[in-house]
Amino acid sequence: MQRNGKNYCQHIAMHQMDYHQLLKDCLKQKPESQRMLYEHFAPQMLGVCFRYTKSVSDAEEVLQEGFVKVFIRLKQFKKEGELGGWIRKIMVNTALNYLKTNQKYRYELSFDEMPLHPVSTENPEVILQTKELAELIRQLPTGFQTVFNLHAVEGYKHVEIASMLGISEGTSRSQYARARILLIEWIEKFSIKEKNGRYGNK
Amino acid sequence: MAVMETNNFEKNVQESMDGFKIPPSDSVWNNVEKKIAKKKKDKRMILIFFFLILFLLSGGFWLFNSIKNNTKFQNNQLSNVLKKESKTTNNNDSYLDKAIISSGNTTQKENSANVSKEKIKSLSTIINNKKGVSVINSKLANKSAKRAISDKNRIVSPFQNEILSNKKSIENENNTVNPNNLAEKNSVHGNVKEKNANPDSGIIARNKMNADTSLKNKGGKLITIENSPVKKISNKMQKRKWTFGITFSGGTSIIGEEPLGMNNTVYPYALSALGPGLVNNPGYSPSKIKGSAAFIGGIFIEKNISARSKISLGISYKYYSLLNEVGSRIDSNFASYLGFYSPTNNVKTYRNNFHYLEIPISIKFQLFKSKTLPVYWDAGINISQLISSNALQFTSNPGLYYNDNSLFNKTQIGLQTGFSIILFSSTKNPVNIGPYFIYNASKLANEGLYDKKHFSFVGIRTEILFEKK
Repeated sequence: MQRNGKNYCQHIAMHQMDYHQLLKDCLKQKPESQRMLYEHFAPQMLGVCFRYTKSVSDAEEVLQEGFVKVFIRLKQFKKEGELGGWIRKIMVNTALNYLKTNQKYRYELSFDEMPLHPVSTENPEVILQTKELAELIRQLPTGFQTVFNLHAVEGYKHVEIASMLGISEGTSRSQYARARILLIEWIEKFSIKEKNGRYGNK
Repeated sequence: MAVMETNNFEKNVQESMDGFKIPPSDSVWNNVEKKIAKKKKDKRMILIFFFLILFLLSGGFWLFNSIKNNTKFQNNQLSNVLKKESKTTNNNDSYLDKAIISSGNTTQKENSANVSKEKIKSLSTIINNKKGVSVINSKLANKSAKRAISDKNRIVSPFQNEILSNKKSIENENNTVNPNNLAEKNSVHGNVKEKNANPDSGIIARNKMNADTSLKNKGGKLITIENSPVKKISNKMQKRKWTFGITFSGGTSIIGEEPLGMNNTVYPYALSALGPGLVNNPGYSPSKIKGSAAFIGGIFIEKNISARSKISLGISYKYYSLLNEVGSRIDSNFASYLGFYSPTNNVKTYRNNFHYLEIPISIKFQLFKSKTLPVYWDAGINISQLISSNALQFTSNPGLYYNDNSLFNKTQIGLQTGFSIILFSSTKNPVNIGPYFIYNASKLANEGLYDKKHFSFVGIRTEILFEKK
């Protein structure tokens, strides 16, 4: 389920970028190539960072830190892998570190042990814009938001999330279940609102 | 648009999020560019620092070895020449005896003079070449000098009167007879020949004596065995050698915005840090940072650059520590990982350790000419690199200490000075001891708890030299 960044490479092909040449030039620390690489991936990566934080400025801070790491560690990137996926991993890890170190998030990021909740079996039909969905994810408490992003969006397993966040697998599962229920609830409310609004407009 | 069904919830969320893009503001790239440039610079500085250490160490090692080898080589060369010389002297003695017997053979006389001349030239060249580098093997020199004296006695005896009468004039000739003057002398003595019944032998003998005298005189007055000028030369040469030593300084580290811990104000923006909407809450302020134990240990090499000054360079490990009051460690999954400390609960003293690698270079000046207890003043510069630290930073809202070494300026330039007296100066291992002061001209950090602060060190320094005598 884990994403591999294939799409990003396809994007590169679409833009007729010489991916290997660009990588070589970035390794030679050519500023124009670094800028090209940044410009290509930055919007997508800001989307990733946005989901983990509570504001665009925080997301930009994570993005900035993440790209510094990308350029410094670029020689560690194995060419047979997908660059987009690799950059995304760095962004996710940078975002997690940011949550741990930034005082704004530190206290919100609690992972108290909770009993396991059954996964919702409701089947609501919801229609939602991408941006709206991202906004709703960001409304979740930081702990829920992080686990939800890692599991539902990035595709990490609960064992992996547990080791990444220093929590137990059970905690990860319960946090995810709670997040899921909350999110579905909100999506439902949101889509009803949207629906009413649309009817109202008519 | 994404239609979401619970069964495919994760899949739908993932697909929906795939195309989610937000264009970042321009400032992000500018900051990225700046940070990359800074990291590149830091990396370069570290590389330069390590290459400098490598260069200094290898250079010092090479210099030390080359001096050692040179001394050996020169000594060998000198002993060979002296051996050769003693052989030639013996040959010349027999030749000289013949000359004395045959009396009046001009060619032989000239040859003898030439032999002596060459002899002097070769020795004086070698000895002159050794200036400042090698130590003359005094035993060999003494041996040769003794032989020369015995030769002299043997030669002089038949013509004692004449030679004795000329002896004073020889001695008056500065004790050093320039080999180039020998020809002149020969011609002078040639004139004597006419007056003397047996002049040639006397001249030859005297020339030989002159030659031997000059030989010893030229090379360092070897003929004066008791005064041992050879020893003087060797001492002088030794003074120019690199000497290896170890150093240890113990004392206290001091922190402040000015030298000697002056103006050690508390974290300026902690006092004014207000939480959002908490206008009446002044926020937490950190405890005062106090200086604590510090020490420096390392190795160095030093060399005389003049009669009363030395240059010294080395490599040292430097440890500074600072104390402040912190609360108990917060144990939560994240906090324990990062080392957060609350400043209010169970206040205890925390030691902030700083580990540096330092390259000091300094010049020492002898203040008084005392031979028994020489006093030196030294001043210099050092460059040091922070290797590691457990120092805590502070955030006023919510009021926590935490680790963040990225805030420190890793490379520090410092100035040092001190006084020292030399104990046991006549032994192989003289000990320099005295007060020592370092001031780090570079700021410890440009932000955070240590913003604008500088380290100072005050302590006692001990240096032990390992001289080769």
